[in-house]
Amino acid sequence: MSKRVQSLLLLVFTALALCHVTELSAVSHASTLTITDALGRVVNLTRAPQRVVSLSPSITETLLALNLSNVIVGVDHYSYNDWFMNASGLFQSRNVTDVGGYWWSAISVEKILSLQPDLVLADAGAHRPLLNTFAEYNLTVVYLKGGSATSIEDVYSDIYTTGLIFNRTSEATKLINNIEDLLNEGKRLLSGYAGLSVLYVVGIYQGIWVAGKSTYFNDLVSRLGLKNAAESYGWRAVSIEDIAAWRPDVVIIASMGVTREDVEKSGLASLGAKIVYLNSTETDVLSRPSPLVALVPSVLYSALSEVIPPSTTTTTPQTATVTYTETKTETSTFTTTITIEKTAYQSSWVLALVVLSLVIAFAAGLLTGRRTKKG
Amino acid sequence: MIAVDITGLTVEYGGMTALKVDKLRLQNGVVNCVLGPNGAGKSSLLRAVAGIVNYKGTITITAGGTKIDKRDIHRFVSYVADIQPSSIRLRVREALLSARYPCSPGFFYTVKDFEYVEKVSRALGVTDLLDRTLNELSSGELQRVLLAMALVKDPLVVLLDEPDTHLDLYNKSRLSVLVKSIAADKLVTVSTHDPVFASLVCDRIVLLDKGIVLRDFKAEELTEHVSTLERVFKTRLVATTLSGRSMLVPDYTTTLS
Amino acid sequence: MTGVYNDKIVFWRSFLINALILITTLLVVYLVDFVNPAPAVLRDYRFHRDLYAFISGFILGFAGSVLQASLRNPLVDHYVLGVGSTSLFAAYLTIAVTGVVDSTRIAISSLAGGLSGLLLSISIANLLGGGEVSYILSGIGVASVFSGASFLLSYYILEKQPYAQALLLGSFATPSKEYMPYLVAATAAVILSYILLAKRLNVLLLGDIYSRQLGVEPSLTRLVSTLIAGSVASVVVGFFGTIGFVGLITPNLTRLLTKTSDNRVVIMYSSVTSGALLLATDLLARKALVASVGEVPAGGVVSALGGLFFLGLLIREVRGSR
Repeated sequence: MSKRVQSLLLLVFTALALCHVTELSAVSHASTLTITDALGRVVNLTRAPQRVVSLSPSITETLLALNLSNVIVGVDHYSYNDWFMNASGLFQSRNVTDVGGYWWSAISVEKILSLQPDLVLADAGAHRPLLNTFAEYNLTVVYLKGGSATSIEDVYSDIYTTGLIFNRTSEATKLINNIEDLLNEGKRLLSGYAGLSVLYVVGIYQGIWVAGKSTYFNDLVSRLGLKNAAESYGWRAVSIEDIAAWRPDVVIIASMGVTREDVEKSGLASLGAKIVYLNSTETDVLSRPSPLVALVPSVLYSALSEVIPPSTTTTTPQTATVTYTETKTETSTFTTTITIEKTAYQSSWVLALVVLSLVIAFAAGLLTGRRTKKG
Repeated sequence: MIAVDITGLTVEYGGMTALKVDKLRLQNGVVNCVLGPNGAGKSSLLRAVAGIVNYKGTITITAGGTKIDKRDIHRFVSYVADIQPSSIRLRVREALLSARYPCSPGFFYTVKDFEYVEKVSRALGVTDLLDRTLNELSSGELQRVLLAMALVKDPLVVLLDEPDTHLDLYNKSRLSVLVKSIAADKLVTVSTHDPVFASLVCDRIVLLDKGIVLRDFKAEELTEHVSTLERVFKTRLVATTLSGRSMLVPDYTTTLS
Repeated sequence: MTGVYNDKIVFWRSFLINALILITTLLVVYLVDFVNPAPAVLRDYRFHRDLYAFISGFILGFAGSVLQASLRNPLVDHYVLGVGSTSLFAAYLTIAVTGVVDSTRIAISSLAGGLSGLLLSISIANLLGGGEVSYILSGIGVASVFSGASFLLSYYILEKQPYAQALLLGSFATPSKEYMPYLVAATAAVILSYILLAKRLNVLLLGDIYSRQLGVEPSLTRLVSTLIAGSVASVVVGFFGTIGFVGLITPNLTRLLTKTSDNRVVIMYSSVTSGALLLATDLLARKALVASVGEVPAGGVVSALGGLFFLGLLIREVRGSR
């Protein structure tokens, strides 16, 4: 290789290495920690926060799992009554404030302000509308992916980010590895149900709401060796005809207000699939992008074994585990939702219809306004 | 002396000519009347003088030799017609005060405003109606209130558009007395489709039909125009005298083709 | 009843009473929000929220009474005439097309939308005969169409810009400081218009013919009044969502209690009491309901109460106590 090519290669490699370095979203400059949160915002923290408000149960659970309960001064309503690690008892005894929510419109900004927190942890899916208000009233806020997580990796990245903020990265990594181990064990546990097609239903009113592709549930379920029956994307309502076409083996109902009659009326009972009803604890486990995901396999196992006995097959050796090491870089790009041709098409139709109606309304107004009154 | 001079007046509605008057002069001191059947153009004439309808031609209003500017018409000319009822109940006092607007367009009502309201209410006998709402008045009471509204700004010209409709006999006579008392110093013009009322109340009659002035005569000359009147109103009219005035009585028992 | 009637007494008495209402409101706000020590940002937040709630009510009260006077119809307000839904729809459309949520854009688009909606309702009402009930029918028709359209559009927007959801519900819980100049400008416009329009609207109440005859050109005055009322109401709706019926109740209540339709009195009472009412509702929602139910949009509470009042009023009118 000529000297010129060598130096060129060196240049290229250096450049690549530099790029690699700048990919790090969390760079420690002396004492300032810079975080790029789930909304792509850059937040600077000069020290580990001492007074934290958590706005969603999954965030609270992550904090508790990382032994950070003593920095929590305010939580949302669901966190306040959470059973995970005896959260509700803990919060009541420590006079932690319930700030309402968990949905953004039920959050009391006033309560958060009166707590004078140095950090607010919010969910990108649920609390985005409050961003302006937080900014204008000088609240430091970091958004985690939370409910908008599309894979288990996203859940892990939230845990890791939380660890970064509080300088507990080793605990975070340990936690992530623990969860991974439990999930791998869980896969072995559920090997008797491998390939089973499940549909996760979270609501029956105004359409049947299911967890589709690009949700973290989808990722979780496929990782455990099962198949998500839903072909739709995201958390959205689908019709009974679609579900019938997907032919799920098991339908898991994870909504507390749904009765057997409702399920029958919706048509789910007549699909030929087995129906499983989860209780509130099980529903929490299956719907929180928090350390609770580690319990998903056992919940699934007990739910499924109610309706289908596990097939006794020889356990297949598991695939290689993935370990999270500290050197793994935190990707700073926020994974945008997959652009679906179908969705875009529908949306532009709605827009066109709406613009058309406005134009017609205008024209009608102009025409009728022509009538002049005399005298 | 207050006078209204009309020259070359044309009033059109939607392409149709409703009124055409070549030359007409109205003066104060007498009760002027514009008489004609429905659709003759009476309202158009009064509204044109009041400046509330578009017209072609010239209408000049003079008082004591000085011409009144078009922009001051609202202050000096009153037009009285049926009032459209509204669900927002207006009290008589408020209506009278609002009728003072041309005199006091400022935010506050002045001392003069309610002095005039007081004075005119007493003159027309509506003081006990001041706190009532317009909607709950009888037709006779309402007519007096409308007249009060016309007078409260101390106008020079008062135009009454068919004031005798809806009125019972008692109120008609009351109206007649009032109109005559005003006519001394103000220019009063009354429009009506009732020849009886015209003959008993008015001193000078302008006969309109299909938008044209057919006749213009003094009340004493009434009997000379009976046949024209019969033709215009398509009713047999019998002349007679009452209190020294000639008047016409319609004969409802027959019809004229 | 003879005797010298002193109009000045009526006017200044109502001025005094309204000043008292204002002072009481300020006192209550101080006691609730500012008397106890609190961190500066919290005071800042409360100040903005309280001020906005009052101003919004003030503006909507003005708009309602002016619309009622100029249309001679005691059953209308901005919401009934469709200004609310069309403003919101226009704001949504702007967000959908530009993908940006920005105070200036919201203000301008909701203004345009609200005025268009007003034009549309009034035109259709005239087509239906122009009677009082036609205005309500037309207004509610327009409101329904655009409410539905807004709802549909919101699904599309939420994918692009979730913040827009804040507009759909409309509450004072997110009082952006960017709104301040627009609201102050609207308030100034309201006060100025009140001084210039009040007496003209009194004359307008006599009907078109009398109004014209007295020197107040009815169509022009009506146009200007509805333009101003529609504009300021649109701005409020664009920022805080649809708050209905506030401008409907207070003018009627004022006319009932003060026994006068003099707009100088009615508009004043209507504006001040609507402001106090909306502020009180928001304070209540913030202090009392947040603990149990969460943030309740102030508009919701007022609409519920106002709706009942509206029905009662409608029944009374239709029964014909004319």
